[in-house]
Amino acid sequence: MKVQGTYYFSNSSKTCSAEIEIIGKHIKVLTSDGDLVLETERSFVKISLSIPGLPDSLKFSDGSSFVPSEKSVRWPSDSLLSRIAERLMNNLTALIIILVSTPLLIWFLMFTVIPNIAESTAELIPQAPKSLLSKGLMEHLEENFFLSSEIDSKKIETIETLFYETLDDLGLDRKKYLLLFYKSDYLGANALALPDGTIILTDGMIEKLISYPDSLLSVLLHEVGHIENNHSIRLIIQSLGVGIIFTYLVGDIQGLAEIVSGSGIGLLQSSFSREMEIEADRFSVVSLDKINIPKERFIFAMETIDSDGDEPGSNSLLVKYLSTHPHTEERIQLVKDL
Amino acid sequence: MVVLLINELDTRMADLKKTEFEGKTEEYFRIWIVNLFLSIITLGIYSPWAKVVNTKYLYQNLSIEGHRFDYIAEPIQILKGRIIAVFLLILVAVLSAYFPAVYMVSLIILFLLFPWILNRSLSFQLRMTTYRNVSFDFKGDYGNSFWYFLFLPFLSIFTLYLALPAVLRRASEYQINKTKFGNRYFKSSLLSSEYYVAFFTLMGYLLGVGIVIGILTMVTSANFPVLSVLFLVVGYILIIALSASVWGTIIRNHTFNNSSIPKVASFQSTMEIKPYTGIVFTNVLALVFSLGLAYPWVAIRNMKYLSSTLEVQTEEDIDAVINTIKEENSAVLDEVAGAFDIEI
Repeated sequence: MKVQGTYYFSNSSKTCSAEIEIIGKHIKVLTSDGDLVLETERSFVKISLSIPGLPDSLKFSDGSSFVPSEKSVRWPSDSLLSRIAERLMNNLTALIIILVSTPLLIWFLMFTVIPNIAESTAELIPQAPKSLLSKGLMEHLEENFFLSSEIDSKKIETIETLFYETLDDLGLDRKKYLLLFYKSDYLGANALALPDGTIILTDGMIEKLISYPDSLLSVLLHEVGHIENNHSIRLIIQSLGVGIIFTYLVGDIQGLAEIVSGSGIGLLQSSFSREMEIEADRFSVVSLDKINIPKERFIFAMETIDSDGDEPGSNSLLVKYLSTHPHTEERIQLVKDL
Repeated sequence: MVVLLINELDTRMADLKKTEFEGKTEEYFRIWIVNLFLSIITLGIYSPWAKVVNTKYLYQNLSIEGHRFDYIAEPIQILKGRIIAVFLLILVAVLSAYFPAVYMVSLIILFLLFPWILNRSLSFQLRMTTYRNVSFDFKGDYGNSFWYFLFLPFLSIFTLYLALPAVLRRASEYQINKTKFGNRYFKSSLLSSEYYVAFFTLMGYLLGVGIVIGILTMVTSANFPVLSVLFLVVGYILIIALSASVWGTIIRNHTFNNSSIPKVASFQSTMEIKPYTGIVFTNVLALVFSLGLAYPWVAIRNMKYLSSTLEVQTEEDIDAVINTIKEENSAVLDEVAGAFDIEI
């Protein structure tokens, strides 16, 4: 086998046109005048990765190299990986399958693989970091959004008793939970769950539902659902995972990354949390059922909270993460269907 | 005297050779989509191979005087670097969950390490780039990189960014003068005035587009709301395109035309604002509407335009450049810095 090309000397920019001769495992490089430049064995030569439209170049052990002039030159190679990839790149059927399945695979990765990994790792996270995280969040909330509650202490005591006794009835550990009360103009009628088991009720929420204890309880159980399912930790792990994937997996293959890094991730996040709202709703309905409260009380709560468009502040990302989300109609329908 | 000068110009022009780019959209698309697919089904393990093959395709299709450029990074080293970088990221995330102070400390460490990471990363990219079997390199040091890439840009904030063009001029001069091809340093002397020209030209274009779009939007908003939204979107994309193309054209021409590798090569770049703005504008549109699938088309036509406007004159020593990069396995730290993938 004889191949024409250019020989690049080792350690310098010197070049010459040359011919390569392969006889068995023996390789010879000759100048165009027929002078011998290099003689070596096949096993000392490194063949470059095969790329469509480009010749395979050879790298010799002294650092010199040879690039064929013909683009279609392929050496007998043992690199299976490089061969498989090139075969895919040249096969029309494979390309069509790949073109169709790649977007689906990205979708699957984002919405199934990463959430599942996040779910199973979130369960391994011990209490200590959750408490620390919650402490930080609590400081931020107290500083920016919370005032002392103005609800009278008797009502608060009633709600506390109701809540903790329900936890006992459901077989949940009441020591894990802490119910707190704040007034917040910014958050309106709202309830928040922090990763360590702290649940916050705003005065606005209590005023709306104080005459309907079962409905108030259903809202609290929704927040318990967030905590039992480790939702905030899962969100954090998911965004970390999405970040890593888009930096390294798609990052090289720009284009996609440029689009996703903008609005895309926000979209993913809101969709992730949408799933979580629904999961927390289901937890609430199932728990209510255990203590013989019909799910209509929960539906009533959602309708009441939503009634005067009192949506939680949408400006703060943090608040968005923690608060009850505003796609109420869809959620009500899903709860009805349960 | 004049005749002599003209003669010299003539021979100089005759020696200029276009950089050639032979990449094809259809070919690159096949390579790119297969690489993306393999990266996903291997959960990212294949991604270093994807990066190397994609980059090799673009580099090897670029040639001067019939000699192809090459990208010689070893995928397995990039993989190691990435694994370490991801491990560090997770370690910091976990530790900061337990000790919030760790997060602050790692931010400070990252800030202090930034010039070093930048040096390593620039050096890595260049060392992996070869022409005629000789590697490029970047020999920046911590102090100067800190000064030019961090401190001066930071100071320019206090001049309401008015000093920024001058700062950027110094930074690119520093970067080019510390760049090597084999054992030869690039030599560059740039003018701040040209950076100000670029700055004010860009401002002029943006202002003009802003006013036109503003008027069009206002006029149509009452009766044709759909049309006015369309104007806004087009205006927004046009502003993105102009920011890249106006600055890119003027600065790239200026830096290439005033940089050389003494006795080895000099350059002439003849980009023009109008065609390049058209290219960038349609690139952004294509990327958005194809959800990224148009990337190979975008990359190829960019390379085609950039190479068609760049000419190189090689000189007597082009054959005598000594490669100073030994093919050693670069250290783990280098790989990690490379994994941060910072590009200027």
